[in-house]
Amino acid sequence: MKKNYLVIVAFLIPAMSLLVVFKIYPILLGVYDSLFTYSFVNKETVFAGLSNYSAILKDASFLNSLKVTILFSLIVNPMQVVLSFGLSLLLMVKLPGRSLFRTVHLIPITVSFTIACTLWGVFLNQDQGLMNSILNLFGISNQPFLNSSRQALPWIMVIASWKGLGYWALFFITGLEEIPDTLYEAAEIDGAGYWNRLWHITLPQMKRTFNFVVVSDTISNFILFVPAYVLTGGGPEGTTDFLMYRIYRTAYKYSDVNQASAMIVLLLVLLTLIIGVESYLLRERE
Amino acid sequence: MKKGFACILILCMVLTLCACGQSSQVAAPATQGPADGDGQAAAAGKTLNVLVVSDLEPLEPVFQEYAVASGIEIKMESIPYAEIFDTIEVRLGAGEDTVDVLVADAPLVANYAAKNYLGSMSPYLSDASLGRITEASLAGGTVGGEVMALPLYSSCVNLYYNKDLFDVAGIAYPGIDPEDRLTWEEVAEMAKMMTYVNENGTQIYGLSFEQIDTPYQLLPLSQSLGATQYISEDQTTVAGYTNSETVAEACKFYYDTFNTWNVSPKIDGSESIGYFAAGQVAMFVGGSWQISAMDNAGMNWGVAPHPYFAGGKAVTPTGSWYMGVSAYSKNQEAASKFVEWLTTDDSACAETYAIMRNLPCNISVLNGIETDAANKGTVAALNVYEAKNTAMARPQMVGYEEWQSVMMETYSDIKNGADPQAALDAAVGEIDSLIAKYQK
Repeated sequence: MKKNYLVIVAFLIPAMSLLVVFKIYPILLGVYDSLFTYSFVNKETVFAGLSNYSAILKDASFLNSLKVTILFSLIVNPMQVVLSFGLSLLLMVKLPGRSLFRTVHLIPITVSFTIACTLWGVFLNQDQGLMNSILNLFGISNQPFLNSSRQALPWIMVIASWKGLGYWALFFITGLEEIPDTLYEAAEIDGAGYWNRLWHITLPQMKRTFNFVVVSDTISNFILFVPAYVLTGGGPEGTTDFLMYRIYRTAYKYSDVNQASAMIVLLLVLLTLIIGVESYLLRERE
Repeated sequence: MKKGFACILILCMVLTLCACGQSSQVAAPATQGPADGDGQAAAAGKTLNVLVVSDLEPLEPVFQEYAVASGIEIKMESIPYAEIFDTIEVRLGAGEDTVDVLVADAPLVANYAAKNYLGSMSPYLSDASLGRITEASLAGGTVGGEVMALPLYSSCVNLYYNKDLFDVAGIAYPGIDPEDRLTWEEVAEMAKMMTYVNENGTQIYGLSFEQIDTPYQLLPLSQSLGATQYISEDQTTVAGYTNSETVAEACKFYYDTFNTWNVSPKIDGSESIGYFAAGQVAMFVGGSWQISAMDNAGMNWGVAPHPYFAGGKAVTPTGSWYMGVSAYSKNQEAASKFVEWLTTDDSACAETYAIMRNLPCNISVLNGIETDAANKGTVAALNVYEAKNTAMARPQMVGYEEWQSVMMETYSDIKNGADPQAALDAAVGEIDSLIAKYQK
């Protein structure tokens, strides 16, 4: 028994070590840094207590970033989950050309987000972009797209969804394929139609998959960074100033690592609360 | 057998663990002082890593000339303009010692010095070399009596124009004589006449700035209207200065070019020279460093003095890249000597001027331009005139990086249709909260 225990621990040590070094330690260091501040007058780092937290909670720019990120997640999370689940149902239908259909919808996954944003930026270029050229054919004048404070965030939602739908659909497909066919056969024998089978068999059987996708999607949307960095610079007028982009700028453009650490800790706490609520609502019930 | 196999597996895992790096890439707090110098003159086998903006790539031959003469290997690392400031913040903020020499935009020297990115070069510089550059440019790199950076060159911005588009519109070319300087009002009227869709369906614009959305390019608008101060004397607030009525009036002109008169393309600064060189823009307010791009495109171009507002004063941007030594460099003396040679040596400065055509800070090169009869009536003579009569530096402030960053976003918002006064009012609040840390 003791020898088995040692073997188990030995197998776990590499993974746990990496987890501690690259995950746990940076989190603890971030919390530590958030309690200090650098004094440019005395050229030294001093203990600041919770003053970094109080400063950012009073900072209008940080609150704007929080609002933008929450608004983005509130709209994109349910939209991506519903659409990717619908896509997965479509991709499960046994029709000719299904492989080609699946390939087309999985192409966005193969493109890095940075490249995808760059391509979308060219496509949505206000002056010479393809999208405006297409709109001009229908008599619609050039649209500002990413240069408009009203259009920029919706377009970022489109780009993020375009990138994410196929990815999350893969997880749903895996979940759908795990549902035993016997359940559907039994339901058919009992006269259950498509929607009844979907509601009473598919959705309950997919609860764990939904839980995973909802939680993962929440995390990825809350830490969204690339579109703001590549396309909009957080504008126009702060409408795409996502929290991660603000944290990046605070740390690396404004050289305030301590305040950025406080922002990261707040983001971590917020995410933990949201994921806790989601997990509770989607928990397996006996 | 099983026992032996388990032992081998455990041994492999332990070896794997030892091979893994154990330190995280955490940025060190900015409390480190300058690294110790090596106390020895530059020696063969030494390498200096020089971080430059991509605009300076043509200076590679000048760098290599020093490398050959000194026996020191000079490695140039070039970063695009849009990324250079972030790159410096990330790498120097982390205390990297992989950079020995770096560029610093003129108004950021004080900021970098405050953040301990730059080490003092004063112990390694001679009075004779410092006497070879203008006092104003030397002062721009001196913080608290210490020479933190030396000027590579200065700069000037002119009004370049596409003669072919002027011919199509039937508008006379503007003169190069400063006495014939156009007003912004006149430029706007001309721009409206030269904004149309041509027979090929291509949109032609009347006017474009080169460094769209940057304070370097746009501060002269408000300075021409009389703005002289953008931050309080004690550097604690920009409210009432950066968002003054004068600055808002200048920003309204900028707003109008994009949104009211639609004479300027809503593009990034990186695209502006491409539009002008391709013949899509009639007038281009830019620097002489773009002349080679215009010549390479085969443009039929002319040049005129930088415009000013009627009733105001003629103001031109100035200042450019300085070269400093990283405080974290392990080659303080060798790096300082290289910077000293590059920025003050007469022949090095003459070569730099010949390549970049930017206004030099070296006195002998400046005198040469002024006295050379061949330069009469050219952009070179115009730039010397502007340097002496109209040049106005950007505001010196410790929090310039933060101020510049927010102002670039603000100018971009104004370009995209935000009300200028409202945008400026929002900007000053953010800037004040960002620069508060320099008072702690």
